[in-house]
Amino acid sequence: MLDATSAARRTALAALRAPDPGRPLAAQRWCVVDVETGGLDATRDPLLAIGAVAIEGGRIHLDDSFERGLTQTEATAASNILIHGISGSEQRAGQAPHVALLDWLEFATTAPRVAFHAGFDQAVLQRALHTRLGLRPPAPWFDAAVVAPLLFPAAASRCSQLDDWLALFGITVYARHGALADAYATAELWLVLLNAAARENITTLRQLQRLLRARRWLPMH
Amino acid sequence: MNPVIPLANSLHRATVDALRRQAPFATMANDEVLWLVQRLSVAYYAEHAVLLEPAEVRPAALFIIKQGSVSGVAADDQAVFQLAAGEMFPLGALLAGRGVANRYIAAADTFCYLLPASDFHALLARSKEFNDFCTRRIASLLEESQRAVQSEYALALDDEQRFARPLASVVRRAPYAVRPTTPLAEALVAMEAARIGSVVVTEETDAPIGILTLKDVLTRVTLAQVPLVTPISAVMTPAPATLPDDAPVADALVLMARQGIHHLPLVHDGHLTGVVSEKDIFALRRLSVDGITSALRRTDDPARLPGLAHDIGDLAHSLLAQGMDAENLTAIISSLNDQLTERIIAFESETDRKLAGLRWCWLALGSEGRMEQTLATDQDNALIFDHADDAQREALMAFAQRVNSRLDACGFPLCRGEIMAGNPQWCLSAADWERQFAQWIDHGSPEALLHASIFFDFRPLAGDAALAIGLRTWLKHAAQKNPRFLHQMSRNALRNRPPLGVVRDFVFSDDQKHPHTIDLKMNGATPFVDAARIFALAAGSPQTNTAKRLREAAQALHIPDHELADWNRAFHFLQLLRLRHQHSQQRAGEIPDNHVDPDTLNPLDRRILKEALRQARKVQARLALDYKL
Repeated sequence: MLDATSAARRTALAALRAPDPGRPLAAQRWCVVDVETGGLDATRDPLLAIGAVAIEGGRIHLDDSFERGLTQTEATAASNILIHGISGSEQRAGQAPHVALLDWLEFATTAPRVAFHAGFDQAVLQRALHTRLGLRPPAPWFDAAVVAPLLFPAAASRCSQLDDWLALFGITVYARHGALADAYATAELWLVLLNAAARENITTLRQLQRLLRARRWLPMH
Repeated sequence: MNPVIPLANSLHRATVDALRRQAPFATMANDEVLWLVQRLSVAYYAEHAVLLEPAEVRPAALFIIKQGSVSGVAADDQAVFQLAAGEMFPLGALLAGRGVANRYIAAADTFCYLLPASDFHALLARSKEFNDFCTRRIASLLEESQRAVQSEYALALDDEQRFARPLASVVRRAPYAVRPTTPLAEALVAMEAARIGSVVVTEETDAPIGILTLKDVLTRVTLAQVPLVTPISAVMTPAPATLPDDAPVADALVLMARQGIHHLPLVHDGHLTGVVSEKDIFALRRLSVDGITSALRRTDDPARLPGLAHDIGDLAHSLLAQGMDAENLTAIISSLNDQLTERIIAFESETDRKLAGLRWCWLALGSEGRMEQTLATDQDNALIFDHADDAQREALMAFAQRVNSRLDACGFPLCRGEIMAGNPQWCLSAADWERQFAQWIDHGSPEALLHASIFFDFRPLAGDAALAIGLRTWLKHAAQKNPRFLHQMSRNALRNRPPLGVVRDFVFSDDQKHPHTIDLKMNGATPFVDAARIFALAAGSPQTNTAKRLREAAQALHIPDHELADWNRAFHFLQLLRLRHQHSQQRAGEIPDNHVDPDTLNPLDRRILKEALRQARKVQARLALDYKL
């Protein structure tokens, strides 16, 4: 059961609708996100942290950024701490999961989500939102790992991981595997991709979605 | 984790750390940098993308290059500078609140931090380190100020004002007119000889009744095989469109466009006074030093000179707009005004038989003598001659007065102090001049010192320069022989303190008519001019130009190069402010002056003005040192 405040916030968030697909990409507010989990299994492992930055008007706004750790009832296995660097005490020092998730939705609102290998982030967040809040936000997801090879086909064979694409564009990450740091690096990559999309005359969400659907019929590397 | 920083997430902290690796953020307080970071946005520019265009509007943001590089490109597409990661731009334009002059282009794929202009100004106020970094280097600031002003003026210079001028001012020569009965052959030969594109046909009353242009000749004469003995009235365009010569240029443009004609006779009370061609009108757009010089040389009608004087003014405005520096600009104005004056003197002297055989020389004084004329200049001139009897003296004076009044008609108002060649007091033989100069030097009264400051900057402009050179040589010895005089001049010059205040930053002029202003001429430029004159007289230099005098003096007095450079930069900045002030006054239809309210200056210019006045104090301090004052 949610407390009264949280319940009111949840009700407001349940009313959020999907963004207008005809809206120009340049005017779109994007929410670039990365999650850290207690393992690599999106269906089981706990959500530890959410990091996100917003792109609006074609720019990343540093004050419009989001970082939350989620308290865990049990600290996760030591092996994962080595990847994420979130120690047991830091994990427990986070916020109650339902509060962190409400914060997240209030930050993201209707903005289309962007992530690298978005399927994982999407699955983790959807599961957490559904189990903790009973919500299924209608915002569309875009996968930078899918969009990048379409817009830079010449580099696609050399790049598969986030690090490959970041290296290609000289983007550095201040703390790799930190949720916000990775989200920010992905956001810089997304700026490059938006710029390339504009060059290809892809100017609306709908056109970008059409490009991604068409990809299924394209021979990929 | 830095517990001191409130509400900073890891992205903010990482950006703070990254920025603090470079100046000026390295020396700034942590929370000032965080304040900055939380107001930044990040933008991406692919190689060749334009970040900023020259524009009239002030830039919206400060750019800090995060990674990549940016080129500054001038109007001629030449890259003028290259900026690397960590550098900020456009500082000058932001400080001055003006548009940028250069185009900023990504030289590689580039990420920039952007700080909104309002936050940039807030940070200037918050952080002393940031403020110092942005505003400290006067030389580079001046450059930036100069570049910034280019775009402002280039965009502000519309054609509207030029096209409001009366047509008479555009006409370059007397019209060529013939009677209706004139044979074609005669008219065509004359057109060819005078290299004109049209001939107007007039009646005895001088009223235009027809026009024939070279273009008409092709269809109506050559192709129609009309014999050249035919009277011109048979092929002319009868009853041509005309305009009064005081109609604005814009009317002619409209009429020409509407009727598809290229030549338009101008009338005054029904009489033909000129012909204006499309070329004349479009020549207005292409004012150039060469164009005006050759027009001055070509013109055979003194009545055209006021129009050319107007062109000199327009050219000066447009050069100012193109960002020309004050030293070159004042030299160009002076040199064109010289040529105009020479032409007037030639018109008035060549036709005057009474001057035959007399040796005389026209002297330019004051700012003209120093080659430092601005846009607001009245006449300062004198005449020196060899022996002359009373009648010849009368003739010289009459000649000088005619020149004075023609100069007046060209927009150089008669000097309020009556310092003009046409004044019997200043139309003297060489021997009388020496006597007069000697009296000023010996006397040293305030009036004598004032006269010395105007007359001792004399320069030969027309006539027999040997007379002026002789007088200069005489003055050189007389001044050097008389240390007391230079001492008095110095004391007098030091009374004029640059208006920097102890409590407020500027001390306003006590001129009741111009409250809350400072006099950029008297209290800004004059301290430099006065000191330079004394240095030159003491060194026995014939130089009259302030910058050149200072350069010579610096060598003789062992003043370091960088100090000299600062003096000259400061002097020319003051001159530039005067020019800009006068320019805007003239555009607003006001009489130009030198009274500027410092509060109307943008923060950058205000800061540079203070610095320039500080330099004026330094020059004075040097003078005081030399004369133990």
